Amino acid sequence: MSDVVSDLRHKLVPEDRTYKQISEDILDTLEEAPSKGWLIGFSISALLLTIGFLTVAYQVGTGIGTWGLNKTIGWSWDITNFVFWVGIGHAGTLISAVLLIFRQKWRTAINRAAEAMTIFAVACAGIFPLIHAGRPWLLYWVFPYPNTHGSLWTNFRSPLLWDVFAISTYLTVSLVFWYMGLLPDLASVRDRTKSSIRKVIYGLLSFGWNGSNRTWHHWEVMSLVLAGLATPLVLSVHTIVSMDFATSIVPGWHTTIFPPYFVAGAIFSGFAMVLTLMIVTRKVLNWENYVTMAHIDAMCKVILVTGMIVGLAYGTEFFIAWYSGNEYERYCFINRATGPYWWAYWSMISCNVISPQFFWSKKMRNNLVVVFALSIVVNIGMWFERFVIITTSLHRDFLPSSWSMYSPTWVEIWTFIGTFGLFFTLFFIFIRVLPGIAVAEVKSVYKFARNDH
Amino acid sequence: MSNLEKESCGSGCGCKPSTPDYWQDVENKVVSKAELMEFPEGEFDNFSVRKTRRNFLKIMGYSVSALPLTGCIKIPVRKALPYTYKQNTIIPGVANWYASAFNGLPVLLKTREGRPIKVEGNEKSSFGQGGANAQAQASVLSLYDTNRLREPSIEGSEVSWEQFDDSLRKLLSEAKGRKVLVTKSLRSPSEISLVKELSNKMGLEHIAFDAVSSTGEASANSETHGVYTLSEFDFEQADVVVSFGNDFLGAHRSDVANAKQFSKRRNPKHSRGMNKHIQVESNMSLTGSNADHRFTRSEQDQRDILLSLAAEFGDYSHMPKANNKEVVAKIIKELKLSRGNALVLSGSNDKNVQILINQINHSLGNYGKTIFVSEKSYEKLSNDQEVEQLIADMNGSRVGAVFFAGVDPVYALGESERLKSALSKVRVRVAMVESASSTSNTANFIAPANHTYESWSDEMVSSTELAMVQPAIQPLFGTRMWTETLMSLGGIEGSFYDYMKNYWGNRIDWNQTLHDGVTQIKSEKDSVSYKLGSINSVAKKVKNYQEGSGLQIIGFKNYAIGDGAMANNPWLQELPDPITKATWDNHALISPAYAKSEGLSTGDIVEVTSGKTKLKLPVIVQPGVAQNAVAIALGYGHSVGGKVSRKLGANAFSLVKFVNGSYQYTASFGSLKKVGTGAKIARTQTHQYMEGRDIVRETTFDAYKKNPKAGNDKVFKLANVDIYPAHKKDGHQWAMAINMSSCTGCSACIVSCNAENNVPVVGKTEIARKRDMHWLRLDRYYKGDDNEPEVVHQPMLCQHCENAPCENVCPVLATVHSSDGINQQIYNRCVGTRYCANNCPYKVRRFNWFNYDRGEEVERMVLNPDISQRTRGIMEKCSFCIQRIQDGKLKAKRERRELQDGDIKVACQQSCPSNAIVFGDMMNPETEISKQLADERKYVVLEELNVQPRVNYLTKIRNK
Repeated sequence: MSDVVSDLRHKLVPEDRTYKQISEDILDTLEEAPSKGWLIGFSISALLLTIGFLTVAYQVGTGIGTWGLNKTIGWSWDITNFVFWVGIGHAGTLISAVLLIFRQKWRTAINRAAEAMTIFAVACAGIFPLIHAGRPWLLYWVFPYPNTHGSLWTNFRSPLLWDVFAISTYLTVSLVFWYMGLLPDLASVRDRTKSSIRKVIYGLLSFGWNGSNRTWHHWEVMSLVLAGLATPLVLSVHTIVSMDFATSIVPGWHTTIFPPYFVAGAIFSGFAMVLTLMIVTRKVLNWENYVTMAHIDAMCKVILVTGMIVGLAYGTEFFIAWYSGNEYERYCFINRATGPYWWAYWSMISCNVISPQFFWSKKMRNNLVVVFALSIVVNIGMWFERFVIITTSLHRDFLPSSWSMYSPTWVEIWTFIGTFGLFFTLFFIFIRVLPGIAVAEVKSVYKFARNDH
Repeated sequence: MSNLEKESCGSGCGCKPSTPDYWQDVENKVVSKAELMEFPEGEFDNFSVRKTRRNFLKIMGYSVSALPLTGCIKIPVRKALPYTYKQNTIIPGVANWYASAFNGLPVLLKTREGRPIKVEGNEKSSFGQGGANAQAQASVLSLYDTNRLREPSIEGSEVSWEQFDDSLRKLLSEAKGRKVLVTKSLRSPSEISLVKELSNKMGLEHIAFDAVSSTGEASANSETHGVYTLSEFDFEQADVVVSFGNDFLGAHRSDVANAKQFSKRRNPKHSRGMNKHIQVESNMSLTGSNADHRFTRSEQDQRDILLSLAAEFGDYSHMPKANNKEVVAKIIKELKLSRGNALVLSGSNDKNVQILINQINHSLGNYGKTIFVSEKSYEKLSNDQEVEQLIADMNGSRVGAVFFAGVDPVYALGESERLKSALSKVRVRVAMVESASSTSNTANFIAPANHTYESWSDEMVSSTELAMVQPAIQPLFGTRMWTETLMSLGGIEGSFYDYMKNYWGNRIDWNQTLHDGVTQIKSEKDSVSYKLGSINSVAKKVKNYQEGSGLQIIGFKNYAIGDGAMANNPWLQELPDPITKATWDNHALISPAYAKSEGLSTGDIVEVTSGKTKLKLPVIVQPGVAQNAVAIALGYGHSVGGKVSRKLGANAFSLVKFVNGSYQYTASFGSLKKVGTGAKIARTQTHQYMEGRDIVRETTFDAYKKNPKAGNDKVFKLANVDIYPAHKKDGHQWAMAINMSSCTGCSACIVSCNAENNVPVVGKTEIARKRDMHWLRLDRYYKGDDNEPEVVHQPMLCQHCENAPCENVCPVLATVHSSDGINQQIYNRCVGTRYCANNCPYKVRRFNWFNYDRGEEVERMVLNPDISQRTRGIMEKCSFCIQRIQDGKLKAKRERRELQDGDIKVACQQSCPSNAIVFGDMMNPETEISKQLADERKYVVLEELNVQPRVNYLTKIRNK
């Protein structure tokens, strides 16, 4: 190491490796037989996915009545889970697009997995709007396609329609961005493998990448363009999702604070999920040299900041409910904190506002056990946040005659567990068949804080 | 083949649909190919020969040559007239209306393609004035009850009617002892005449038995006026109504007529002002919930108050107890102010109590003005003593034959072993009933009876008005009118129709009466003179009434199920009780104070013990129940009966006692013990208080007189902040106004809406999960002290908002605004996101959580063919009866005239016994609705949301 480098700059890849070694560190796992741990993890995930799938099949075959909803509470776990998963899907694009534009080089080690997580989470999220519909087989009517229904088209005033556009755009751009980023690494896999079948498959997947200057140039430009496209989406998706609530007249939903509040919450939960996954993955796949403690430290800081934004939003909501003088709004918030669902509210507060405060301490940020535990706590808290917003607002709205209570049925519980099955199944497959870390990008930042070229 | 199949086109032509249903609704449009290809099981079993070429040819040859032979089979000729040959009376798609009557209420039956599908009040009747209660409206569903008995049977084996009559005649000729016919109280002149004729021919005695008896009142009238009959009332004339536990607007009797009269005086603009209604009761009744002053008092306290009144207005001296002094003073003050225009009532079945009531009415000069006791030659009323005598005679083997026509005394005497063992000593036991019951299970001859709507009869609905009962459909099953069964046994030739027509002869204009459904027999109600002198001895008996010790058990009829005769009707079971909002069950209703002292809460399960009787019931803590009492609805707990009524609740008739010559419903005492918790109570409303919100606006009559806008002076300045352009308002614009002062909360409108709009029944479990499907509900809120609560009822239905929050949020435009201002739900466009329901501030949208069971084929005959059946996953809600609007508009168009106010009546409005609902075109300033919208009392619920509802409410006014 040279003394020219400032002490403040620390290496993004601490240990010295050759480029070949970097490739081997990351890509060898694709060539090896799956480990026992992987097999067990994959089997459990696939089992949960299967149970979840059967549950959904039963529900679609029988009716929404298999859920615990009623005439007062038309949405509960379904949309809670939807928003939960969409929120988790936020970190990927933020890391890959926004951090790319802001030239945050440390992102390279985690962006691939984070983006994959985004796509998987959005896939999980997408299930809920689909199956929550009474007649999901007709849900294609939400797309504004030319049809023979006469004057009947979609309702552009409905936030649910905006949702359709927001989510599908987000999924498309994220998918393209992720896949484009994969191209050089897929070519590396193709070039390294000895199996002819894999050569063909990865050859096709890498779109004939030849590593020429032109190719790299196009690729760099495309990444920037896509990042530019994806950046507003980071804000728009959860803004639109929040409008499902904000544009309604339900006390507790009808509030202008929702877009920034939801976006912050989404980043908060997304980073927590990235932490949960990466802490395990780096350990299992021996990627400590790439996903370093510095990464974890940075992500903890993001969680701390967004957690406080969320906390501020909770406080602001309460203040505005009082300040507005609207008796329904006031009741709604008092009911959240002291009504029959008080436990959900206070779980949310403890998980989302209190627990991230540990991250003020560097010691805590560097303690993997604490970080791992808190990353899960934050996600539980964020799930409760959506539950609190959706269910406790609906269960007691304007006319007390209709007030009611909600509790989930086994169908809802297993559907939710099933989406975790889907998420982890996809993630397990992902780390077996695709480069889990952006090899080419890591190589491009390897020299950072090294003065040896 | 059952008669059902023969009749299923409904035209009476004997045709049978030639093809199976290819499609039932939009969802299941096409019968799958696989289904069509499937061979019925066993069809080809005989061809299990080896599949060789020779065998194939053999079978082939046989089949081809056998084919022509089928032409020789004689296929029975069925008379079938397709609609291409037009029949005079039936136009597909156009309803025919027939006048009839149900349980003393003149009704009109709407039939479509020969099937009765809806019951409405008969507006030509001066008695019912077009109103209909829940039971009358639900009766059309009982017509199609698959639990009805279908064929006559002897000792459990089905026989033909000829065999039945022969065997029965033979046995009857051998039977020794009394031959007794037991009916419910009869007010049918022709049936009574027939029974008299039979008593001459067969020695048949006639007694009447009512599950819930009014012997006390009739006996009192017998003593005070010399006539064994029930009093009639004129609530419109009464300035003050004082009722001791008499549920005259609810389950007591002639609720529709009472409500029609009563509601006129709830209008503050009535020329004589509002009436004043004081209710003293031990259980919160529907009537009590509407009172201007309601006092929760135990039965003992009620007697104490009554004695004080008797002392004030008669030759008796009594000092009220300290806690009753105020009530007594209040009542006396009000009564004295309106002598001759007051009305005092009691719901008690104790003769002595009713005598005191009569005496008070007499001394106030109310007879002939607000209350009438008239001679009625056509009436056979129940008399509990006769019933007890019959049981005694049966036990003493002095009865040879007993006929039960439409009554179920075994059930209604609490499944009493005493009656069952008595019956076993009777040789001939004939049950002429519609469905199997506890009584018919003890009979050896079962003669299934027609439903009312398959029968001919007549009924004096009041002392002045005769109503006709005529069939609207041929008998669905192999049943027979009970009158015809008796005629056949008694050897009277012809049908009962002939008998009835003959009976009336020229006394009425037969055709006109049949057409109108009603005719006036007498021009005015009259009252015979009061005879009783001193009440001293009666009052002493009331004073010395032997109370039991412990918790007083109050058996009461609730509004929906009544005496339990219609307990197998799912519409009624699912109708929320107007007070408790509970469905599908009866409960132990206890006061909040008692619940607190005993540590009980709603949902606990208790065992109510009285003597040997034990009833296990879930608790509902009910404001307005007397402290040391438990109230239990009668009519539940059928051990025999249809699939609907069985296993629901407990039979509270087992707590009824025979005291002072009549069955008494509040005479049992006992104890209550908690035996469990967590009962699933299927209630449609679980939060009972308004939380101080501006939902029901209320004022007093005095305040109203000073300022008609009293209680309605909240003004919201709503800026025009709409994002979207307003809807154009031209042509007809429909609106509704609901008068909160008139509405009694009786819930008849809910059944009307169910029947009109094919609203599915979802069952107890689903209601317990708060998934009731009613398009119209009645919100009931308590106010004030839990022991003496004030109650308000508020009908809540789709408010058809101008700025409808539901319309904005639907992604597929499945709920849209019509040009005439209706918020429309487009079922086949709905994908079921439920966003609209979440965003509805009134929570009136109903989601089809499942494909709801519409019952068997015969039960589906009740469905309104104008309304599609919604499949699962679809949102539905009140449509302002759009089919009726369309029908009214088309009718006016056909007749080339402008649409008139009143041409269109929505279902809830039509049935309303208190005329609380007004519907019409608000663009026409002449309409009733326009006048109501201009009323100072008009307001809309949640006005501050600026959703601009089309349903308006008029402030509730209490006269206190």
